[in-house]
Amino acid sequence: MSEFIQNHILTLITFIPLIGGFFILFLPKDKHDVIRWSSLVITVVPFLLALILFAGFDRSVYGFTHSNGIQFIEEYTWIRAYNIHYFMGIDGISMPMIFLTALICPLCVLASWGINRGVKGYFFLFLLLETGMMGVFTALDFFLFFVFWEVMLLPMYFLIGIWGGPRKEYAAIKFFLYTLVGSVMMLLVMIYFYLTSDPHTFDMTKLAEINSVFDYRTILWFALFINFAIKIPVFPFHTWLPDAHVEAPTAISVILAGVLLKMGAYGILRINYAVLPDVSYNMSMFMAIFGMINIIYGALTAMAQKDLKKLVAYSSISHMGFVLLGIASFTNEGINGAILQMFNHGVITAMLFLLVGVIYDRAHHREIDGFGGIASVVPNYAFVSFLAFFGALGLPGLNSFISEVLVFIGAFKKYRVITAISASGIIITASYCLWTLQRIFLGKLNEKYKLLPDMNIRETISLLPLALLVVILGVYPHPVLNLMKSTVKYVNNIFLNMNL
Amino acid sequence: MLTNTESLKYFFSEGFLSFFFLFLLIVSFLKRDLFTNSSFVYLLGISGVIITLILELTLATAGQGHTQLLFYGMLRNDYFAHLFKLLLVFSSLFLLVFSFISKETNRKFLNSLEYVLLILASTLGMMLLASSVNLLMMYLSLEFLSLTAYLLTGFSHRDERSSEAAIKYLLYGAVASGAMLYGLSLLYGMAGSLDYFAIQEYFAQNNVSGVIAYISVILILAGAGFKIAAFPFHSWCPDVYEGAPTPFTAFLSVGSKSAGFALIVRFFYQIFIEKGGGDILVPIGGVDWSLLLAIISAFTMTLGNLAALQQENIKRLLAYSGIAHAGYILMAVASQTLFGVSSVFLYLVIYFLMNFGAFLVVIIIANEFNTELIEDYEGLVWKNARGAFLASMFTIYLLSLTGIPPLAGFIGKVYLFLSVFEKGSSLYWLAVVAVINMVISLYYYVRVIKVMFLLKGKEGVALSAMDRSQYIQYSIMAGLSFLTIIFGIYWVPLDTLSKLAANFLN
Repeated sequence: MSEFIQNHILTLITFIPLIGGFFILFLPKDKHDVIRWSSLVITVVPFLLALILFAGFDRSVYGFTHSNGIQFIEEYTWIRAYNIHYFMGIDGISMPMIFLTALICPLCVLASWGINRGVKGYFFLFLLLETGMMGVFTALDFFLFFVFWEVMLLPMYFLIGIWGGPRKEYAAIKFFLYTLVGSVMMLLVMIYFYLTSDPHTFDMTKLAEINSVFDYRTILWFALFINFAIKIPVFPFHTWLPDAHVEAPTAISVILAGVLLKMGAYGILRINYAVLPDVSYNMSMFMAIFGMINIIYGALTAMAQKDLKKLVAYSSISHMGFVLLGIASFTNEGINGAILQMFNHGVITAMLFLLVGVIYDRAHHREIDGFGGIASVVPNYAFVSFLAFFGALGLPGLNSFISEVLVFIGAFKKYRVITAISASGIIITASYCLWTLQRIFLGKLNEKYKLLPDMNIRETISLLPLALLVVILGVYPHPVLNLMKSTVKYVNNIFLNMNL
Repeated sequence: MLTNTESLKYFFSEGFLSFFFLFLLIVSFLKRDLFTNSSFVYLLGISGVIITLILELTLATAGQGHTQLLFYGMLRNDYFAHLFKLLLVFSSLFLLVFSFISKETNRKFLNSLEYVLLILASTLGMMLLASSVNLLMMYLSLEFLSLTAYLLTGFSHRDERSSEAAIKYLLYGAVASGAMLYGLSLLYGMAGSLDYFAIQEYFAQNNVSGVIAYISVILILAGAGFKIAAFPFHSWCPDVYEGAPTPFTAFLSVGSKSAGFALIVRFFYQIFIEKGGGDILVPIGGVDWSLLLAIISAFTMTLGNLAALQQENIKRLLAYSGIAHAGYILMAVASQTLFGVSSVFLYLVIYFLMNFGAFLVVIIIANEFNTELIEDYEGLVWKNARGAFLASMFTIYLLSLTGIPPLAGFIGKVYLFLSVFEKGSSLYWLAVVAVINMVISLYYYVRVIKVMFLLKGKEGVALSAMDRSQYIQYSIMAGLSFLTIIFGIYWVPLDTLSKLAANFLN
């Protein structure tokens, strides 16, 4: 049994949610609590498996080939005639992301407890979504990757569109269209890769190995980059994000910001960097500039928001800018920092959205100016919010600080001016975070919220693991950094050895 | 090349169908009152078609891939013909079953016997079309198919839309086939033969000047493009689709279109292609029909998708979506590769599954609400278990039509793109146009999904609960969507079949 789990752990982690989802479909429609509890159990299983992965992951392997660097490989022929394989495996870039996904999903189920319309459909789609996300991070066959990439769209559309806020239809279709524009470009690139490689293959490791055979490299790079840039999202492709985040129900905002945005950066590292390294290197300045724009633009826009959820959404844009800047630096520190930032942002933004959900459930609005002085009424809530916002602004001792510093160290080696301007984003971030805290929690108590109840057990449980991570990783980031270190070194050495 | 009597034993599926048709016709003259029960008539038609299907299947499997030229070179029995015939007979079968299910046909038709007879006749026409390798035979079977189609379009009794559609269809069709006939005569004048292979040989040996060949090809394309509703011969399509009885609309969009593609593929690949060494296909005849078809394809899909954006009627929406899909499939025809030919067949099979599925939902909704307007689908999923089932099935078909994995429609699109890329860099632009179209098409397909899922249902429009007598409908629907999903995940059987379809060039 344990051997079976060892050999098929990635398949299990990916497909258990889907199988569980079908199980949910057969539960009686009116037994809401049964459905909720089973979903919780189903999402906890991948988390436990992720712990096994975490324990068994060899942190020293180096490379991006079947024998070297990729672990927990599962490879079966899927469609022989077209050399399509069911090929799964993880390395130091995907491992933190899988862990993050597995951690956030059960917490999101907890956050979805209040859903009471179409409960069955909601949790089925949610579990389908988890399968899609896990699949994207584990698939190493381009075709399989693409299938998982697209599988996520549909549940996302329904989850936003059915259970979302007032402008849900608009937000849902906008999300769907934007993402599809990107993915059809990736589809063409994928087919081009397949037909140009000889023998034809979708295997990402082989594509990386023979990457010099591809022509039209810059166009291919841009097609892929735009696809991933839409997901990150990079300015000017970001306009779907505020709509989708604001209209989505809390748990789905958490997933969107916590996991889906990371897929963009993950894809750039996985495909652009691996298969088109030279173009990526030439485009580093381009990416760094867009990273800078994201940081500053996101932060400034966040400052102007009146809606708390929108503020968090724009802060995500700003924080993802750090990721882009980090991976554009082509230094060990920068890329390590970027991946760590992906993880940390996932944790913090999940917290922030959960917190927004908590207050929205009570006050039924999210106007920042509509509160005031509630810290005295809801002390626990205030404490966690302070922790989350301080984490977001990069307070030393909390997790974001370390990743942002690493990004800046890495980026400063190459782009002094861009890094200097980006660093000023920290100040803007600090100002909007503090200002928000002040307006909501400090000052004179708004009489309307005199009797606001504090967080209940369920909400506390959903926030506690994240809060702990914010503190622990702020003091001791090595558990996560160790996972990626040698893979990042490998990625970076590719560029050092290119002699460009 | 076989003589007439020798040919008969390779012709027994069509032979049986002709015999069955004539038999029914004669019996109906003698004993009219035998056929007053429409269920009986439908069952008779269905069993006839099923027998044809079985006979065709035996013929296809017994043939072992040997090809025969029947009736002094009029028809060619090869895997391409067999596979297409199977697909076409299947679509007739679905047409009969759907008509049996639909309340619209039961309400509006005076006489179901004639309806069934006409369906059998058009099946025969399509089967002949798929295998004809002679210009005259091709033209005759095309007309056979068209004439029956005109009649079937206008079959609803005292329905103005239906009659108007039939007249429109007839007028467009007459012009298109006239143009085509002119093109055929030019081709005959050039090559001095009606036989595909003789014309091919002529083109292979002589260097013909492009102009006449171009004119002839363009004129022939008018007739063929009319059949598949390609730009600029598509304008009949929405009106006819809207006006025709819904089951027949489904048939038009799948069966008659597949027959049209069979004609186009045969015509271009058997006349204007010479097989070089390996699997290389060399275009001959001095006509750059690849570019010609690519341009038509780009316009067809763009126009179809743009026009579909604003439709309020679900049948019109599916009509325009059908136009767009004809455009997609033309990409593979334009690729001038063996892979392209098999992609055409593969895509048509997948299109068969998802489009018939979509129309079945439309028929059932029309049975229930007596409406074809998209707005009346509002909140379908929230009504009851049956509504949820219908809406989920419809969603699967629509997303498959868009091309979202892991549904079969996605695999079909991948094949089309693969064939375009295989042609080489000269058609890369077409692939780009096609993916832009995919994104546009998402918008209108999802609009239907939005209406069913995202909007709150109107008060007072109740949906009756699941009914035991409707199990046929649900099992067909579930079966189609099951296949749509399965072929999206594991499509090797389809791939193997479609590879056979490309064998006819040997």
